Amino acid sequence: MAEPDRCGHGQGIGRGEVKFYFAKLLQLIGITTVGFGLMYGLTNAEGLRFELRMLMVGSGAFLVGRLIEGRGAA
Amino acid sequence: MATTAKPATTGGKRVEVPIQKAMGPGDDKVHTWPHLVRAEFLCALLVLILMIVWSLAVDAPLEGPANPSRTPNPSKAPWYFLGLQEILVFFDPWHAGVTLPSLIIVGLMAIPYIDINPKGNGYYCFAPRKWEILTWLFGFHVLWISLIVIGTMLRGPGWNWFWPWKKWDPHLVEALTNVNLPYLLGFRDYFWSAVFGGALIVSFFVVGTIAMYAWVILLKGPEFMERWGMTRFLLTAFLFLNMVGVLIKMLLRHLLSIQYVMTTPWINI
Repeated sequence: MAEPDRCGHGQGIGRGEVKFYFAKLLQLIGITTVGFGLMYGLTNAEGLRFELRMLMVGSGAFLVGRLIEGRGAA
Repeated sequence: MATTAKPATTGGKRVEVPIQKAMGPGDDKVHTWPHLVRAEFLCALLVLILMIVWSLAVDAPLEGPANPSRTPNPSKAPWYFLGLQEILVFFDPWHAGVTLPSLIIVGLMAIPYIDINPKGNGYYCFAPRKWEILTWLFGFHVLWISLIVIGTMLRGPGWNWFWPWKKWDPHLVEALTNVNLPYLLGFRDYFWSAVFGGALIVSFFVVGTIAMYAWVILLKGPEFMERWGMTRFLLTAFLFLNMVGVLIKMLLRHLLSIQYVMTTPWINI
């Protein structure tokens, strides 16, 4: 296997990085859910209840991702 | 589900204001909140998703720690300042770095006071604001964005001009054939060079202002000029002529290799 370069590329993925990418994935899911909720609300005149539910679920997922990510990345 | 907001009062009469989409002719207005703000927030989220994915997938182009004994060539400002750095090719630092940015900021601040055209508020179309939009396009795209593109993509080592298909050669030596305009026209001492250059610049502003006055009268009529007022007109003419002057100076350098129009022992323009 090739030696890692000075930036650490080729070093393989560590446990901290798995946590970081998982946290980012959760945040992306949260944002996408919020976006979907907004889109639903925009296109359905009677869709406010579902929209608000999606906003809350999405915000929650984003918050959990943010908490897992913590202060220091990877 | 409730689709109505608080009742509004118009001339003593209570009117129910619906929070719903426009339904057709005669019903062409909706509330900014939630209809517009929600769409804007959605766009912001899409951009945020794009930025997160991009920042995870692409490494920042960071270099090693700075070494004062081995400075990079070319040394470039952040991309958004490269327009200003490019202007340094054509003007002295006091003009390119202080006077022109100040004029840009003051000019932008003055726009709401010198623009008396009420058309185009809340909607977008070209015809009723032709000159305003063209001036903005000239200032933003020609005098700002194009300079950033030049500074980012076409300037290489030694701040020499490199076309995209040319290799950035750090040893390239360009012959500096620039001459000052007064010298080109036969002036050989500082005093008369300064007098000639100063007279040329003052003439540019005087003739330019008169020409702009005649143009506005021809285009819009004396009634418009009366409404616009002399203070607003003179301020607009001064700012516009400065914009045109920067372009003329850049073209003189690129096409005729003229370095300065006015030279003195202290400042050059």
